[in-house]
Amino acid sequence: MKNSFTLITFITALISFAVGNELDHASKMAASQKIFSNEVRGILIDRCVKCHGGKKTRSGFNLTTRQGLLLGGDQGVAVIAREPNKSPLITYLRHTEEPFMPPKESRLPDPLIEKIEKWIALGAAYDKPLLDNTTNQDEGPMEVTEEDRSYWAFAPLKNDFPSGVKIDDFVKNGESSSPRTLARRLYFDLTGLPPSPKEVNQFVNNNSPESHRKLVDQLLESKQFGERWARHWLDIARFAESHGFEQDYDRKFAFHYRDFVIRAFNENMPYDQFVRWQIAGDELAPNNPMAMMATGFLGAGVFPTQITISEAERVRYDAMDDMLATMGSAMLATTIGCARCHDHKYDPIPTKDYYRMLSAFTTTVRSDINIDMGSLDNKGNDELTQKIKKAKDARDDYANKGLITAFRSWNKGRLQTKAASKKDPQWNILSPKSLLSKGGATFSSQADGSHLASGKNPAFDTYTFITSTPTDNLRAFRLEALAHKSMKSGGPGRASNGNIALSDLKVTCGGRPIKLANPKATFEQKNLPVAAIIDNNAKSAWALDPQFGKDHAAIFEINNPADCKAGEDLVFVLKFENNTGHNIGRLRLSFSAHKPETLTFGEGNASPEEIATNQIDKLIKAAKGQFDNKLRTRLLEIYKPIDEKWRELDSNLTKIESEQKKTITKVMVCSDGNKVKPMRHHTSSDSIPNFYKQTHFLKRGDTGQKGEVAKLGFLQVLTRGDVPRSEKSRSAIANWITDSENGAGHLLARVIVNRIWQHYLGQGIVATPNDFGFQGERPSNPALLDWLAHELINKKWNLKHIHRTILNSDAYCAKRMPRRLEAEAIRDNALAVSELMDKKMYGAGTLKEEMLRRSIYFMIKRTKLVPIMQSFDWPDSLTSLGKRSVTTTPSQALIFINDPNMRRMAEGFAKRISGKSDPIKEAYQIAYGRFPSDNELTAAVAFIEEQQKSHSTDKYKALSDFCGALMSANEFIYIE
Amino acid sequence: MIKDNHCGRIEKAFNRRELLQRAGGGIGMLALNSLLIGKGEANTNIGPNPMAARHPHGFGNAKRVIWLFINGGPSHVDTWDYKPGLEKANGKKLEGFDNTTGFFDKAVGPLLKSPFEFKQYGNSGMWASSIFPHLSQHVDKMAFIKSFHTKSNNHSPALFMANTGVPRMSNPCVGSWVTYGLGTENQNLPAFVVMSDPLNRGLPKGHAANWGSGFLPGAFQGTWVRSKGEPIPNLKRIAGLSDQQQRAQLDFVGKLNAIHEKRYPEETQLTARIKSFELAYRMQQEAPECFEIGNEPEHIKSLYGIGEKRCAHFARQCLMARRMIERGVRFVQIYSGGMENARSWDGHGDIRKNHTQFAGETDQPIAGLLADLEQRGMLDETLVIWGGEFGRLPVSQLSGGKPTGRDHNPHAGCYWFAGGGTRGGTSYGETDEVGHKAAVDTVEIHDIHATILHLLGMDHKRLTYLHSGRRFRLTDVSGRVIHDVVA
Repeated sequence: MKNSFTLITFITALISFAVGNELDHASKMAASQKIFSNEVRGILIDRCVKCHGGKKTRSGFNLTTRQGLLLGGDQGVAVIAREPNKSPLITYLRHTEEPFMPPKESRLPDPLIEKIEKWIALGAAYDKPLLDNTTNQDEGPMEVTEEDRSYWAFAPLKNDFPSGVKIDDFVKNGESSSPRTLARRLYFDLTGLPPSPKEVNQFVNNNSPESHRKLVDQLLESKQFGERWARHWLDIARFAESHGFEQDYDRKFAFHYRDFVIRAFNENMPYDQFVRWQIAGDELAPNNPMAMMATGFLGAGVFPTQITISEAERVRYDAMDDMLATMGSAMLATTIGCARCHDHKYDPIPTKDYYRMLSAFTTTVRSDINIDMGSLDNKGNDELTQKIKKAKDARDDYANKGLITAFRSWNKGRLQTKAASKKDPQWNILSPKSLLSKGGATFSSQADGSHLASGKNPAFDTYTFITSTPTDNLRAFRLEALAHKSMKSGGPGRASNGNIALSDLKVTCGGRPIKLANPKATFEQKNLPVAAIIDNNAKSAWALDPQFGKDHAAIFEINNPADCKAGEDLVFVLKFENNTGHNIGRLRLSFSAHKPETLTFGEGNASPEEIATNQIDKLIKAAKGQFDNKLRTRLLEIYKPIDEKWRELDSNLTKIESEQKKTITKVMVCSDGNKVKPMRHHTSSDSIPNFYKQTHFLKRGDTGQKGEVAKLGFLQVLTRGDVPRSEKSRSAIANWITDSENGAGHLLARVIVNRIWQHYLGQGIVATPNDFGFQGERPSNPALLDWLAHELINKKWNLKHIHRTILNSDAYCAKRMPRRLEAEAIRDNALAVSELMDKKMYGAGTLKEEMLRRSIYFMIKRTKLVPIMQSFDWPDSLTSLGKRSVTTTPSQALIFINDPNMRRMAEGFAKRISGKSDPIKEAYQIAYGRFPSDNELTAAVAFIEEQQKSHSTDKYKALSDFCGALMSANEFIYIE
Repeated sequence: MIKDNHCGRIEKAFNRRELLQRAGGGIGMLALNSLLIGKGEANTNIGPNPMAARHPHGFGNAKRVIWLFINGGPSHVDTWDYKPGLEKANGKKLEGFDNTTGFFDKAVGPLLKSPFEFKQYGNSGMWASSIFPHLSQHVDKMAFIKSFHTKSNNHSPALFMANTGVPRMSNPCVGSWVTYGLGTENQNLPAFVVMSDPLNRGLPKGHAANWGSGFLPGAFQGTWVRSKGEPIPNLKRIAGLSDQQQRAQLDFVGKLNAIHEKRYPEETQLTARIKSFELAYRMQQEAPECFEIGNEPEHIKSLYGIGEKRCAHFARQCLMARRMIERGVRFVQIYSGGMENARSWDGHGDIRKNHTQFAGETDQPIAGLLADLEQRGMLDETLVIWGGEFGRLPVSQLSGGKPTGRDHNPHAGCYWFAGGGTRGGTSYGETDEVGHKAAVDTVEIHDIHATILHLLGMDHKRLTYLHSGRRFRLTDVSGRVIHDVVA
């Protein structure tokens, strides 16, 4: 009762207040409504409602009802009733203020806008909502429609190009630049360094399309190409070498990712592989150092080192978001990260897609691990590569030619002395019919009858060794765990310290259990005795700490020899369930027919020669005089390791290889936190995990509002049909993203060719290289973009092919306005002309500004960016950056005039020209690749004379001032 | 490539090729091409100088900002937010308190009344604690916000919140947004200057990211002034080069550039770079003078407390701030205290000792700054901000078993504004009875940011920058101007 009274009072007050205008108001609203139903309604339905209340509610603005219209959206109020001049909507429609509406379309005709203005002026009345079901507009989950898939960026590539088409068929080109300009342009664009005067003159004097192509090829093959282009990718990868946040600790081993990018570009790694390895190199090729280095991409983002319990989970979701969002921007120019808290406001990316993809990173953590980089270091060391090749050729030549003669004479000799040398060794080595690791380790057989494990090393493993029982008279088994250089501390185990922990050994013959007893071992770790192997306790084990790098053995008597029947399957099952990764790295099993009490661990082995002899005997017997090539090859294979000459040649090769082979190096990688040791937070207590077991759907991105567990999935809009899903989730993402049949491959190709085009032509075909979505720009030349993307995929993702195609086009050679070099190229240019540059490639960088290496080797510490780099618009390295800004500030000029390092380079430059007969002409050629004009020459002569006078006739100082001036002038850092 | 901006003024965007798509119309207040360089050089078209002064539309008194960043988490209940309720409840347990609110969940003690005496001051009768004998004389200039709360209980995320609006290391800070929006009035000095603790107590957590420009162009980042040696890099001519020799060299560079420029008459970037050398030459002359406080008269030095050992370092910084502001620097931020614990206002162990010390370091210098700005008639156009990343808890933190410290409190904190068109002698918002949580008219950092921009004449919803497919704002999707503190 009271409420209704208040309401009535209120309404009365309202009426009495408004009564003066009441009639006027009513008639205006009626007029407004008429305009609405006759015209405005149609306009809104045609041009607006699709994105503002229909299938999408972009920018939070829903104009399907009058209420929504007047409420506005994320950008604030859009329409003020009766005030068209104050309604931002009108300025959007008139394209006098952004966002222009409708977006990416031509402006509405003026008469229509005037109608809308009038409609607003009269009160913006509706007759009914624009859509029938306006109740549930905001709540329904986003659906990805066929229309969404047909958006230009998500649609399949157009492929109806006539054969023989080239870039210049797509674009109209102006006049070509002079050869002198082109030489300079090519050197800077491809290597980030200036050409020497000689190189310029060579190109100018011998100018032809052929010499242009040759220079392009030459520069694409230069080492400096990778150093130049890697830096473009590092911007995109938000690469830095410190954690950021509180303490900004250094990531001492993060630079390997930078080196990976340089190497990959130099060796022209196919782009799809380049992408796959960055997402899942650790899963796809764990033994390849490049693949491991590539995973630094995922972990290049910031990482808070001090967190509190209440923040821990949000921080983990932030970290995963960083990986996913960067992958989206860098590889697909898609702002996936925008779908974290709500369905993407502009692009067809439902929040569900976001969390499904996010789940791929659930267990992904940073870790510093040891990697053998030997195979990489050979590259770039031509001398050693030659030596290795020579040694290998010598060995293989011998194997193909001289070996057969040696075998014949050996075979003859042994048959003559056979009777005399017959031995009865204590232990006979068993060779398996099959040897399998449950956890997926792979074994390779060694010449001495052992089996070396490599590849996967799961936390717990089971080896199954199957052979034929060799004789009825089995009395004992010997199990050897042997050292090998491939393992930590030389093994014999694959644990992170080289240890083993064998928890269980079971043997059966013909399915009957063989009872083992009286175990003995060469060594037993405290509390981990050999007896634990046969104690029927799966967790207790035999281990060897600290006796690493040595061969070890355990021997067991057989209690029931009668159960061993020759020819039946003899099965050994070894279990490792005691400690993480403590699996035997090199295994050998033997039997003995001797009395157990007489046996020792190691002596009396059948020698490699005896083993080989036995095998050869068997083969020859079985062949019954029928020697064919196949058998000959097989015999030589077995004989090879015991041939003295071959062994000598082989060990020589091994020795040379080992000069570089063992480069065990710490590398920061990203991998499964269950398998590697995660990098810890500074304040981590046990209650703060490194990662959580599962990734949940979150409401509004809030870890306090968890939904169900998210299972791996891909962006629906980029998925057609079935995309194979491997068990490993990041590999699945990597395969999907490069899949040009059913996955995101077409967009992946569009994005990278656009980036390459951008760096050569100054502006991408799509001007927003990190956003191909609705908010981004449209391609200025869609056919060219698709054709280039097609070329990339057709040529097996060959990036240098795309570089070459662009560089050899008229479009690239056309005249253009000068462009400022980036920070690195500005400094490298100065270093190059000074001839002070240290060309050492790869390895840890430094923060020291006086460093003389190329600028890509500056360490990137997030809170201490190298000032000269930062001054010239270095990226902030916090998020992916597709295009650097170019600013011009006095602090940049101060570097040129006052920075001692810059002066040092000017002095180096001066030294270079000071002895020359015509130092000014020489300087112009070095700095600008051309000769000075008469004007310039006169000015230079006058300047140097004056400076020399004021420097008490010190010509070198005057020349340094002159060189400093050349380096400060615009022509030095603006390249046409 | 002419676009209209939100102000309805026609202007060329940033740099027509490089930044068009990013800045677009959303660059907001920027008139980046038809610009005014300071000091009366009207309407010189200098191309893409990001620092040229720009004029927002007609509201807002403030032209400059000095933010005294009270680093480490100043305790609101021991400074400006008087809580008689806490006095009464002293020694009692705070019912329902979540022990993980602060940093140390295992050292939570009972409620602890302030060890300092509170009194009312000025015509407005604002409360202040006894640690501020000088500042308490200026309460009629201050507009207090006593219901601030934030999102993190941890220094660096909370510092990032206070400076950038997000608890992560990613976005531009307030000073960068302000210089992006307004440029600067003196091209010979940096637009945005940051001073940190000069007593070797470290940088605030998160270091330079607190004054970083994030995705905005690098030109908008704060210039960190070194406390020893050359205040900013490359101001000194290289050894062996006289002014005359350098002048001759610059003139020669000018000649080379003039010849080069004729080949590309339409390229404004080249012209801008030519000018930048002249600006650099002048900055080299003017900046050292600006940082040099030796020539200030004695009575000014003593007003700031430069003779007092306990506060001399901060006094110098405050006086330098005034000199910069006077010469047209747009935004100055001074951090009181270094890293954490006893090195800043982070009074975990002993709140009485900690806050007595840090109030002692800053009380007279800040009071001197306010008085000096006022007597020079600059306070109206200079917004002075006092505040840090969060407040502290009303419950004690046990230190050696004794209830003497206070832990971080993300739920409540206190700010004050003075000058720059704010309403002095007012207070907005309240915490609960004991000062545990903001309770009445609660204020987020976005609201404080929105108010700062408003006082400077900028609409926080319109100052935007397109990055990674999104139009970013300092206030993200939040922010509300606190009109109660605006005069």
